[in-house]
Amino acid sequence: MLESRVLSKDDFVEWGKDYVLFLHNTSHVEDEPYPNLLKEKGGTGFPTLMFMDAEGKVLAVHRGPRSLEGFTKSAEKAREYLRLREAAAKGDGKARVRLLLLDLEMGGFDPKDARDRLDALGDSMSEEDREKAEQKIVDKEVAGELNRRLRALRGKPRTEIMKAYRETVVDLFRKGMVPSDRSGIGYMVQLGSAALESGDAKFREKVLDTLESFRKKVPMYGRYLKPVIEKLESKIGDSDEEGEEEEEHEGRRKQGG
Amino acid sequence: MKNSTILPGILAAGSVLALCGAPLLPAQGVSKRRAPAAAKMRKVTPQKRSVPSQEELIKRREKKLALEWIAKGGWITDYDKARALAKKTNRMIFTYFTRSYAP
Repeated sequence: MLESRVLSKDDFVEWGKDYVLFLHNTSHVEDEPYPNLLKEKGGTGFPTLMFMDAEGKVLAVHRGPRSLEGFTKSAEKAREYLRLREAAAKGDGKARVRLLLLDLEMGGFDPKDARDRLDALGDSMSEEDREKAEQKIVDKEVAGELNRRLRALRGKPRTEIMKAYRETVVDLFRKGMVPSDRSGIGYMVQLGSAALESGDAKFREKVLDTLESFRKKVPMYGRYLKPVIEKLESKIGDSDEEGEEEEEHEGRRKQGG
Repeated sequence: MKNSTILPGILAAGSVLALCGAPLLPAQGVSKRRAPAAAKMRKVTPQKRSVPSQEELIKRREKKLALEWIAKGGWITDYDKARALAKKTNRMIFTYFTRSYAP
């Protein structure tokens, strides 16, 4: 559709003369020199369209209608990015904040570098923007850690992979590293499973809150979380009842009943 | 670079979900009575999902890159060349990430 209805048309070809048109055909062909380029640039699916500078730095990721009009709007965003970058280089604090937020939004950033930039911004960033930036970095750190863990487990039996993956999730959760974007669905499902197996009532409740919050933020994956949320609610309900019965029993015992 | 292509599928969010979520997700629509049919399907599925050979992948890539609109638009398919041209002509790069079997 995109190729036949937009990219092959004369008006697109004319428009394209103002840019260098680069097509990356992602494949598993062994001689492909940049097989992970899409991922490195923050892309997660096909098709992905973006503007880059001559160094390959992403300036704008195209969102919205895949049409000439839509591409023109994204090109304007890319130019705005270049203006901000110039202003930031001259010491404009607001431009530096905006630039960091744009980089985080587009996804193709290094978490350590982003954290350094965030720290360097100090008080020039609002609390709201700082929280937003922190969360984006955490999302990336969590995804990176889980991917590293999975790579290290390559070739192991499935049960072993799942056990280790779940342990990593719980470890990250206990450190306060909780993802908020859709890449966190695997994390959430495993966290829910760990909570169901756990005998720690407080942990279960904390996990339930986290899963419900994630479901609100990422409703498209709600159906995957529904079963574990229901099981957790049921388990928490059961332990509440047990607790109440326990208290009643204790009360009667004290009254000499 | 090639080493980082390990587990290409498993790292996708959907695959992680499949890996991690499977034990919690109900076996939708597979009743006990229909189990033999489901088992039969499971036997067939791996054949359908067999990994294409390098030859096949190269053939698909060549077919894709030979499409008329790519030459018509002057699309560059080499990342290094695209960056070099952008630098030389002071233009931004408009990148289209696609796959051999994308329409």
